[in-house]
Amino acid sequence: MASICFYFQVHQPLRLNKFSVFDIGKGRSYFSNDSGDALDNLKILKKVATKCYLPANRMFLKLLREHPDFKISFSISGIFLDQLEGEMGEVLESFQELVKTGRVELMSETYFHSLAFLYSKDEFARQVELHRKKIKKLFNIQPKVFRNTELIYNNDLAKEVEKLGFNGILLEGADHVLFGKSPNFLYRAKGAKKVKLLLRNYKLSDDISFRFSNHDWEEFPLDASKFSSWASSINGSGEVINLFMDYETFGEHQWEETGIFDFLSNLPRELLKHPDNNFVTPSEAIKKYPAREELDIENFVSWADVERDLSAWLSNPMQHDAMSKLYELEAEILSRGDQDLILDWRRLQTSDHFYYMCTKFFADGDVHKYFNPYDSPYEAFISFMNVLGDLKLRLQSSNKKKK
Amino acid sequence: MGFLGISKGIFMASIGQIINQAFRRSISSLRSYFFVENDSPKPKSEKEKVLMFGWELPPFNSGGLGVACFEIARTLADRGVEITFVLPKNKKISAPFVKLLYAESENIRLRQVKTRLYPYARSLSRESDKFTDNRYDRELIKEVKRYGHQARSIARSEEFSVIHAHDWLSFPAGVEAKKVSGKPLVAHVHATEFDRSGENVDPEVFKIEKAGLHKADQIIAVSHLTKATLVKHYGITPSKITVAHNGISRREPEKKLETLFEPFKKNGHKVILFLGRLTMQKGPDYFLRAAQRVAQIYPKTIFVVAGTGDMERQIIEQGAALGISDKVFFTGFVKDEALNSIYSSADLFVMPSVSEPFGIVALEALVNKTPTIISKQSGASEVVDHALKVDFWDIDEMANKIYAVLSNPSLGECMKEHGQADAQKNTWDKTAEKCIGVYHELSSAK
Repeated sequence: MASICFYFQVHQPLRLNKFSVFDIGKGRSYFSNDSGDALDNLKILKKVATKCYLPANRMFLKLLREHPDFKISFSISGIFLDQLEGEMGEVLESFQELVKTGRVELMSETYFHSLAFLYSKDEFARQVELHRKKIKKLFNIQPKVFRNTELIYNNDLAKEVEKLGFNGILLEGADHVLFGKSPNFLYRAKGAKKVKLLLRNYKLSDDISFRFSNHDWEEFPLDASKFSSWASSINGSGEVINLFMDYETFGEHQWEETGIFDFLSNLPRELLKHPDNNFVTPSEAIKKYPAREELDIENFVSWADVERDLSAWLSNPMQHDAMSKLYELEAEILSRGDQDLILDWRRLQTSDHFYYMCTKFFADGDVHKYFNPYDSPYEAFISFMNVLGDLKLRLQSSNKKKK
Repeated sequence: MGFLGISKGIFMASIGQIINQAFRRSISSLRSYFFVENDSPKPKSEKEKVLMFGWELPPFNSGGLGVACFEIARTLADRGVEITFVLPKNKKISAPFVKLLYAESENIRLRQVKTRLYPYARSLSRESDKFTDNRYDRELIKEVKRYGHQARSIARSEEFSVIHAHDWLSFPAGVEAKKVSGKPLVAHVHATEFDRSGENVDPEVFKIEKAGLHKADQIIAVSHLTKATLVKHYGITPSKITVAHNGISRREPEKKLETLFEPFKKNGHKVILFLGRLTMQKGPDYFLRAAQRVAQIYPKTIFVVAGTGDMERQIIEQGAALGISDKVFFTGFVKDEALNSIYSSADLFVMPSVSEPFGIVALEALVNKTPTIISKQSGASEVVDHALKVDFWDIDEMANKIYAVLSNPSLGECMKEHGQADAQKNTWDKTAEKCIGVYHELSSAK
């Protein structure tokens, strides 16, 4: 039988304002911007809420009520949840309603959707704990399964995450980690004893999240019964199909006009037509299926770009420079104890800031450019470094105050 | 593709061979034409024959116009277009890929003109005559008109399917050639009076420009910026204008380049370069104002101003007035051979142009792996991604970006890495492709 495991990433960064060197030391805010431009975080959130979060949540709630065996899971970043405070309460409530059905699992991640694991295991652990607390507070849930920012994973991560008490980890079923093995089974991690690994079936996931509305695709148009026949065809040669995608697929990347909502609303019924199919949450998959083999993944893998590695955030000198200078401040900032400074420092860790600095394929009209609210990766870097300069200045003045 | 094109352009024009022409108006008694019926329709694969009017070619050029004409002609010739290139004066120019004709060597004798004729106004510091209000030498305009008359006899004795005239200097020649031959005219705009003179448009030059543009059958503009100027200020229909960006030629990698500004660099100073004519259009005054802002926050800098022009004295005085004259250095005119050295020795190149139809210097700097900041009010900003861009008037933002490159070596590294390929993807081939497209459109429209 094929157990279908849906997982959706829910995240919005706090985009940095354009910050000039002449703004340093003037007390200018890093993140708040109500100018209505491409960096206006609230405006973006409202737009995505209207096109995606609210209608998608409505639809999933309906499906959960219609199909008692239907299940899904989310990972919702802390920095997203922060932005729901205030005007966007309606969106938070719609997520809470979904969770109340009892058939929606929530994953754990770093609060700030950061790459902290690469620089500081302690900071990583702190951010995981902060996120756990927030999830408990808003949803009354204790997450049991972990997924790192953008599914970044390697053997070391598995060890740390196991120490933190999780049962499972989500990662990308990339060809260069599977070497021909199927993503439709659960695996063990090298060096970890009990965590089970759930690998994303990228082909079937991307059929929905990327190719769905592509007229040049040979399978276009994709409807629920066609997709369900693909899923069912793994019966006998797989146990779980992990369909992991960005939640913005529904309404934002794939607009309503493409018929994505109709596709979704028919999907559970079509999949369940085959008696061997069912739905599972990640925790249920972990309980149900054994880990078949060990996967030895030394180099980091992720779900980003064609390379499925760290290059989206760390491939050019600017990115390395910005990230290492940011994490260099860790000891000093934490020891100062100024909560505002610490919060700002952590908000600067969100992976998106570095994604915007990526120069891979820049100008080839690729996905980085689509997502970049700045005119160029250089502009993103310049603002970031100026903000860092301002942060350092504040740190120095708070040092002086302590004396 | 070699540097010297295949000499397809050289052909012998046989006198008396008259091309099939169609008339729309009565014949002037001064001209004599013969009707020759051409029975067969023009085959599509037939090579285009172009009568091209320019003003200058390297090495006797005083700016980008000559370079662009040279490269365009060369690349077209490489692609099998036969070009007869007309220049007003006979100078020792080597261009084996085209047939060169000199207007002065035709049967009409030329009066010797005493003044030096540059298509740009001269520096005030060299002014030995009395100061005039006109920025253009009136002799220049007369010469342009004279060139136009001379074009007639050239057009009568040459065989071509289309006329291609570069900038206002050649427009009257192109128009006259069209009158006598009936062939379509392509007006190629590398710069407009509005770019050169801002508010103080020379009425006569403007009139010549406008007449040429309206009489042309098609117009080629070197950027969308220039196209917009033509639509706005000259009343041209957008559909008449094709944008063909300028390019940069692939150069062989240089042998060892001289490293300039050694003493400053040894002292830990960063070198920020401005290179271009010292004239309003190029924004050297904005460069200095930004320099002052930068010096306040990053003192270890020197600002090199490479070029000459009518604003020279003003710029020197401005440097003093801004209190940075100890940081600003003037090189005067930079010879072609020294260009690459000066670009690659700089830590940063700034092109703060107020109105730059294209700005080949931006591509030249990028090709030399120099981090580059360019004005958004330039044609070059339409075709490069790995340069920083700024509105020319935004001094603080210009200073912000300069400071960012100086204080973050990783930024400069990234820009160097990508800048060269970014510039080189703008080939003259692409420009030539667009020109050929316009030629075909005109020949098939007949």
